[in-house]
Amino acid sequence: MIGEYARRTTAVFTVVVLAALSVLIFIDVIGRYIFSSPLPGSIELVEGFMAVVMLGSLTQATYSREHIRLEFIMIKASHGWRTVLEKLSQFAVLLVTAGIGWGLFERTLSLRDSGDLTPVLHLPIYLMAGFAFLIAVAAIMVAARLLFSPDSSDLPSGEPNHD
Amino acid sequence: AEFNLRIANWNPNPHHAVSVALNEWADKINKESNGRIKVTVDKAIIGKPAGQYDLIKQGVVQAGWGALPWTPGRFELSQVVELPFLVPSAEEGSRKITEIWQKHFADKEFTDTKLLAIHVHSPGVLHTKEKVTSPADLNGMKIRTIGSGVKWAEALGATAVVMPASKAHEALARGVADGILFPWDAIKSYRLEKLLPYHLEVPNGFYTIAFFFAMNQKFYDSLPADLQALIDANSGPETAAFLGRAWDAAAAKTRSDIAADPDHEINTVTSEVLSDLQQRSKTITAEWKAKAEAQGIDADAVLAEFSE
Amino acid sequence: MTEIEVTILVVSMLLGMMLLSIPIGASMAISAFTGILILYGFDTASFIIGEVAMEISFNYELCIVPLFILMGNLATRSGMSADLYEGCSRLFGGLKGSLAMSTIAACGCFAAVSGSSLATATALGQVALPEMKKYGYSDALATGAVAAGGTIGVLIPPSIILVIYGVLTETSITDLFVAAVIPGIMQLIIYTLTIVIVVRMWPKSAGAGTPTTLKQKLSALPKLASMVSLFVLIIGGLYLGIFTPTEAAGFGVIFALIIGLIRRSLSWRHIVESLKSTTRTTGMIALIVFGAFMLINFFVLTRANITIADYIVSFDAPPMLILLSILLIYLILGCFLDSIGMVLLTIPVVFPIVQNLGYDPVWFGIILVIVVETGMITPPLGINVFAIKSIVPTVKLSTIFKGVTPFWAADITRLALLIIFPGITLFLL
Ligand code: NA
Ligand code: NA
Repeated sequence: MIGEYARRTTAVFTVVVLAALSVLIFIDVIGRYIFSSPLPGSIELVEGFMAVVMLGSLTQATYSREHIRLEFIMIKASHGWRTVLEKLSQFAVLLVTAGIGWGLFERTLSLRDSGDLTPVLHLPIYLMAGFAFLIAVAAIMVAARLLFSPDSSDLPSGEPNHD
Repeated sequence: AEFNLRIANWNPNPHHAVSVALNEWADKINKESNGRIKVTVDKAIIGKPAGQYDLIKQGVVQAGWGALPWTPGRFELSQVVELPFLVPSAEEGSRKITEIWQKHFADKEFTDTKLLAIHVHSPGVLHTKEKVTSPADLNGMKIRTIGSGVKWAEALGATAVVMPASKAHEALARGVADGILFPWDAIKSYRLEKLLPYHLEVPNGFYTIAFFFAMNQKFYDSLPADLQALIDANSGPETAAFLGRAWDAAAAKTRSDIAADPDHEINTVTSEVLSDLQQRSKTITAEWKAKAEAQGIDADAVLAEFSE
Repeated sequence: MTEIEVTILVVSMLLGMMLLSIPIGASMAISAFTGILILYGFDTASFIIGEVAMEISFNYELCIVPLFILMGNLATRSGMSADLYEGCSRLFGGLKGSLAMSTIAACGCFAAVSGSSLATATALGQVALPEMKKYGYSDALATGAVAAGGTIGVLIPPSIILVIYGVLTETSITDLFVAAVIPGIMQLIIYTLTIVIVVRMWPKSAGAGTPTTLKQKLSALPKLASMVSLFVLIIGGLYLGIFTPTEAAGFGVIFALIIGLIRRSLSWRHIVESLKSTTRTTGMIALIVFGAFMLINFFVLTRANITIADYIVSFDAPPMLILLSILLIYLILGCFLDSIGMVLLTIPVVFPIVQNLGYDPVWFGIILVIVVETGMITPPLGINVFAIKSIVPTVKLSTIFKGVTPFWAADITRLALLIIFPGITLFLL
């Protein structure tokens, strides 16, 4: 299924970029302190990597249902109501990921028109925004899949964060 | 009021020279329009600094201001004023660049808003932790800057450290930077005076930063002719000069405080160092010229107008 | 609709959605978007959502969050937290209540990882509670220690919640981290004293504890070394001005990795698991930060937060009275919500008020974190207590609250000290 494929690809990609981000910052600091030459454009590289980490992570957190919420009504609710509330939550998350996706898409078009570049490396910002949009699409797909799967039990429920 | 004119303000510090000047401008419009336009200046930032221009273009607000270097590549013709040694004062520089925009760039930049003025900050000074009087002293120093300042800092022999002004204090306190290119007033408003005891001035400034003050085009078009005329009368080179003057006043105040402080030392470059600096600035100027000529601009004519 | 009506609508929507168990980040985003849409139309709403999406994605400062979470995950998975627990119990061995003290220390470290004392109470409760049961600890002391322990780690740097507070309010994260050190250590000491007092007053509440020889005590020190050196590297580096917080986070990851590899306790699998777990936590934070930024933009557009702040200041009440009222509200609300959610939800409105009153934003950040964390163990509603109840259903709720009350009293004492003497928090800056 294309949704699952997108999620897995995003998961692997996010993890790789997160590792690269740590290394990038490490090299930047070493460069500045020891060789007195920081990595040129390190800030914009970090920002670009962060877009992947944040949106890719959003995909993962949605998948493993880790979002913070008030649960006391949920706990008291009957099984039927709990399903309703769960679907409502999933619908809300789908709306938000869709909003993020739409917003990034809209920004991508507008930044392409204005031709803004990053300050040091002169990378076209619209390409970066467009890439972020693609990851947001993966988040939308995951949220939609959660909402429309009749029984969520085929998906892992909130894996404990620290196993 | 018939019309609400909201001015977005990315620097809501109520004491900032431009905040003060914009409030003055707002009062003037309120009064001269007999209350038909109600102008308000924001006290908090909407969105990100880099998004301020689009904020106006999209009509989220009716007017606002922001720095040109935040959107690299978008306004590079108007950024000519940021080149070294072009701005004797913010007032003069602001008037001049707005005139130049009207004459040379109006069909190329700021075409999607009603540009009210381009203004600049007071001539840039080099503030450092260690004494600097020539490029030799700058060798290996880490200088915080943005935009075209990066190439300039490098041409001066320093290492450029790029970060937002709001992080300057942290960068200097933590040794991430050893100095900064900044207008005088910013030294006080970003609380840097304890960190930077040495200041090096050059005639007409090391650099400056250009800012736009722009209005949403649709909003302008929606005004009746008499109110449009009112806005026209309160925009252009003289309004730019007014904004620049406010900045000059703030800079002069900080400069005189610092000059009176025995912990600080203000130096001016010697004529030999100045000619060395001018030599070093040639690549920066040539780079702008190439970009401008590629867009069909008579770059030499534009540069010559600065010395008129 | 007027701006006031729409603001009321947005706040009602927000509360309603939250009560229906909809994720807080989504509740904030949807209600703020609706408000902007009604007042300013589709173009503005879609522009703002795009700007905010760009802001949470391409954000340099926020990279501290995933990096510190990753560092903590690596440290935990390489066994550094477990070593700390064991090292402490050897070090305190023979002392009455030593296991409870070790639990406090371990919970502190664990919460430092997750940034959430709620997650800590749930996760470590499963390990520490059976252990203390085995050594004859009373249910009250055992559960109380677990519920309270996690709240230490949330404040002691690296503190995820302080990073988010710093990004939202444009307060220096270094200053926040440095300012958190003394209140954090105070908490560690006060909690330890609390345990000493509790076991003296109620000797039956703790087992005797196996005495350890001096040699055993000394052998505990290397076990503590990894975690302590990681902490010292980060705080020392920040305090001495060697690192910015971002650099400290990047270094922390590499350093935790190196220690793990030297100890030969970090496998490839551990590393991959740490990365994956980090993305799950980061994604949770991404949604809630997105919601908070949307809400902030709604308030700035309507100017509602400034209006409210001006209105409150116009009462001319003594600033301390207003501050204490705000803190009381936080203490009550803090009972229901994890701290990160609590802070993000309220900062758009509360911060301008506190600023108007003239309080130091660094000091307020520290006080805020302490208050919302205290809320989480406040009888009779604190959310941490319910989390523990779900792990040990046989223990009565009233017993857990009885156990947590001495720690709560300790927290309130410390809070009072920090409010009366702001210098305790600020003098390291
Ligand atoms: Na922490
Ligand atoms: Na809380």
